[in-house]
Amino acid sequence: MKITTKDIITVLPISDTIKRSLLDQWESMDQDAKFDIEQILWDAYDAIYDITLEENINLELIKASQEEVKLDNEFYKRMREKTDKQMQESNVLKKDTSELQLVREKLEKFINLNNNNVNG
Amino acid sequence: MAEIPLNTQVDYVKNSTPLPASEGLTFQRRDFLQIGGTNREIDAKGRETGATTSESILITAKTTALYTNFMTNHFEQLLAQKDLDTMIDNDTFMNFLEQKHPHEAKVLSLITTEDGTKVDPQKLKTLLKTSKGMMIATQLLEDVTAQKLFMLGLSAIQNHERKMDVADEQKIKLGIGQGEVNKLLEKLGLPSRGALINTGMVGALAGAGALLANKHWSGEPIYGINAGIVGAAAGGTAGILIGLLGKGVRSGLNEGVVIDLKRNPDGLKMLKNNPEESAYLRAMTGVDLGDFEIIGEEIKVIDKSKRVAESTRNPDDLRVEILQGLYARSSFLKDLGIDPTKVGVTAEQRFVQGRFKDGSVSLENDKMGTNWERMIEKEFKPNQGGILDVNGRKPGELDFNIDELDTEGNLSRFFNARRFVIEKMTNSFITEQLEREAKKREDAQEKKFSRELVEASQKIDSRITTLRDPKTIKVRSASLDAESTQLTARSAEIEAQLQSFEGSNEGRRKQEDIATEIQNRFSETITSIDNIDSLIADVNNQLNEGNTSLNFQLKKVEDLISEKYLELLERYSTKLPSSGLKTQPSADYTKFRELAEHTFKQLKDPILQKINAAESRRAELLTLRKQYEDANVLIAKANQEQSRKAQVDLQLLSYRLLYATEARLYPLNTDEIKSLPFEELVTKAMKVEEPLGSKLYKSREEAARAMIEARSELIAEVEEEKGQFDDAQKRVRRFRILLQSETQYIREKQASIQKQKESIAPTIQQEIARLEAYKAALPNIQDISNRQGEIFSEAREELMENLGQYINKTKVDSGNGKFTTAEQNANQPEGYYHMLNLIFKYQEAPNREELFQCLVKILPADNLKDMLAKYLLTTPVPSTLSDVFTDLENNKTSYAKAHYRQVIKGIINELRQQALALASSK
Repeated sequence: MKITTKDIITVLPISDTIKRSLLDQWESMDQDAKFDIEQILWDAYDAIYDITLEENINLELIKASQEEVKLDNEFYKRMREKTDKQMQESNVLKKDTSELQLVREKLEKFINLNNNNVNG
Repeated sequence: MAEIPLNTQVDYVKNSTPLPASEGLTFQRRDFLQIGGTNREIDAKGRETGATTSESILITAKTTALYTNFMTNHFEQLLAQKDLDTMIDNDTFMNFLEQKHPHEAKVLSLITTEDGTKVDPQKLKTLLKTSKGMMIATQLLEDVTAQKLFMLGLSAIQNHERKMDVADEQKIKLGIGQGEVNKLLEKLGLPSRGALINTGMVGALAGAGALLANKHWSGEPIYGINAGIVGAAAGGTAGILIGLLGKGVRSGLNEGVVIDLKRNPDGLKMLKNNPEESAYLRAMTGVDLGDFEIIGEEIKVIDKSKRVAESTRNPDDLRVEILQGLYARSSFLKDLGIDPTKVGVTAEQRFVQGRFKDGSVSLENDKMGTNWERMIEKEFKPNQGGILDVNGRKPGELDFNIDELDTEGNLSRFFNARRFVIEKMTNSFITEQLEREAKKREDAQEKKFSRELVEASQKIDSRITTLRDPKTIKVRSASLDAESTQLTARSAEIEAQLQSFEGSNEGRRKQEDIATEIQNRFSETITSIDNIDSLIADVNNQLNEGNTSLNFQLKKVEDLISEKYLELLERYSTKLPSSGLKTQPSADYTKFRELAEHTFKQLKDPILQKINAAESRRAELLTLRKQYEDANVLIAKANQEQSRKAQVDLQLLSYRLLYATEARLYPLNTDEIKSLPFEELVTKAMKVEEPLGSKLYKSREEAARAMIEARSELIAEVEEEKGQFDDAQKRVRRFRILLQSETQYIREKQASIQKQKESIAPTIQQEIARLEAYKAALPNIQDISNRQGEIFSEAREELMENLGQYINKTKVDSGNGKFTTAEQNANQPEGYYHMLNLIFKYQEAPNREELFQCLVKILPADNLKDMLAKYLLTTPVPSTLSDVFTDLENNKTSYAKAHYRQVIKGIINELRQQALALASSK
């Protein structure tokens, strides 16, 4: 399922203030600021996706060692599908990671800059 | 003192302090004046006037110079005080200033030099260039001038013996006749008496007003004088000051304005008990309150013998400063175009009841409608309490008594409000300045891509123009020629090195033989003759001795011969005629003579032989020494040769170490290093990255050097495996191989330069085509930047789910109806076109063919191959796009959506960067 940038804003574990500010300004935002913010958002989202996928694979491999799970050609596909599902359900996105602090700071900076540009 | 003629005062004000060079400044009227709903000024009563606030106004060079002068003088006076750090108990003046006069401390921090010792003219200029800065300076001017007016009174008392006319110890005349003041007031139709009662420095102010009217604002109504108040007051001390002055001032028709200080010593008592304010006032006015004492109910100057009278300032100086301040303020208000009838000489004027000819009074009649007044009023009325009468009632309230105002309190509150506004405005200025600087930094650091893209388009045009200029071919050709010349020179150098290297072995051996031979030849000599010089000295001694002995013996022989001769002469003298002896010796004599000479010779020859032998010995020794020295020179040369050899060894060692270090980083295999042409090898090496991602080689020259060394090392290794070489031979061979490899590189490079020279014109055409393609593609690059999120979203899914079509290796050739002619001509794997379409959506565009021709230039298949390899971490980089596709196919299970998005992100970013880099490159 395709995910959009706005979906990412909604599901990322960032403060409601930032979310609201981003969503309110998104359509009218300066294109350069939007470009930079978009890369930050997607990078953050993909980082969480990667971590989750890896976690799922590791868990399944542990299970496989106890012969609870069959390892076949479809293994990775299943793991990706599982991760996709988890990401859609936003369960994993409730996790907080220290990397996200940096994302938050960057976003706040961009939002402030954009506000200044609009007001100034 | 007699009255100072007004025109003299004018000159004094004008000439006492040279004004700094300055320039006029243009502002909008709204920067200083209140704006109404119709964009017109609002007067004091809230009515809109005719003037529009959008008009520009010029603050004249004169005004800015006066303000600069005032600010510089005032703050440098404060800074001079800064050095007296023990003036206040356990505190410093600056601390006091920060705590009690924060408005001044803030401004001071804004305009001082980095070391904090003086006012920085440039910083002050920056402040005064802004409307906020001018308003800050205006309010400071009002504040400071009012305080100086008070201090002038005290100064006058102390310095009465100088210039000021003091009626007695407790009364001063301010030198401006009441008659003059009254005339001016009459001219304005204002009350000439009554209003002046209770005024402190009205004489001085009247003088200021008069001079402004007479000289500078000729033909215009005089400003001020209407209410006739001045109070001399200072913020926190305002009440005190007014208390000090207010009741003790009177004016008389005959003696002018007089301050009678003995009437109210309470204010001075309070001031004297406040060392901080006392210090502040001394810093600012030069008047030391410590010079005064209170005896009973009277203020007296302390015995001059106890104090240094010169420590306080001449009141005339202070008066000039006051006049300058009033003049500067009036000049500014005039520039603003404020109705002169609204302007008081000082801002405080309205706090003493103004009474008009008809007996009416007003507390609002001197408000000017300026922005800073509005801000002060806002602070003064609700926060500070506004104007009150002595019973604490406000205007408008029942029983408010305008005849009995709480003047001290009103002034004190007004000063506090004004200082609050100064501080607030200064804070606001600092914030704005910081924001401006931050914005500048941000702009410098984060230049907007969209703006740069516009610039890129212009730069590309400019580059194309340059490329089309015939001079470009000449310049490039000259550059290649220069490179070729350098290579030729290096080639010759290598040749010489190789020859000398070859010759050096033979030469070295010969030299070593010679040295050995010489050493052998002279070893005995050197052993037996420890010191040739001392031997020579010995021989010399022997010679000297030989000479001495010879001379002695010769002398003896001569003596003997003489003796024998004389004996013979005596013997034969009787037998010979005296005359015949000399002319014809006898046979006996001749015989004797021969005998004597023989004897002499017999005696002399052995000595001479001995001397000759010694001379020969010395000559031989000298020859030996010369040969010995020559041998030493040869030995030294041989040693030097050995040393050079050692250096070569060291160099070879360093090459080996370099190779050992870098070999691990070569992603190029040994076959490639040994066999590929250097140009190709260098091109490959230039793409190699270190583990951390930066390029391994910063330049082609660096890469070429590393490749030459790598190849020579490999060749040498092979050779060494084949034959048995001793270490010395190995070193020599390796060095020779290195030089030979470099020679090969130079030959290839020269050939390449020749080719490049031949292809300058076609290359320029290609560059122009590429630049034109980039220029045409700029909107598409902007478009993919704007659609980035959308592309990410789609690419993640598409590459994950339908990877097959994006890595389809089937070549699109002529006859493939799904693709346009241009696409068929490109003859690339089908996946390439799908990848391009995934990003650019070019296949849906009405100008598909044209757009493809453009895209194929900015993202050719080879670049796409590199980017896929780079972002999917495929190493070594496959040589074709099809190879990358194969790699992707084989490893697709290890790639997730995030990986594919990273590829797309990388492509978008690189295209943006390339567009900008191309536009800015030379």
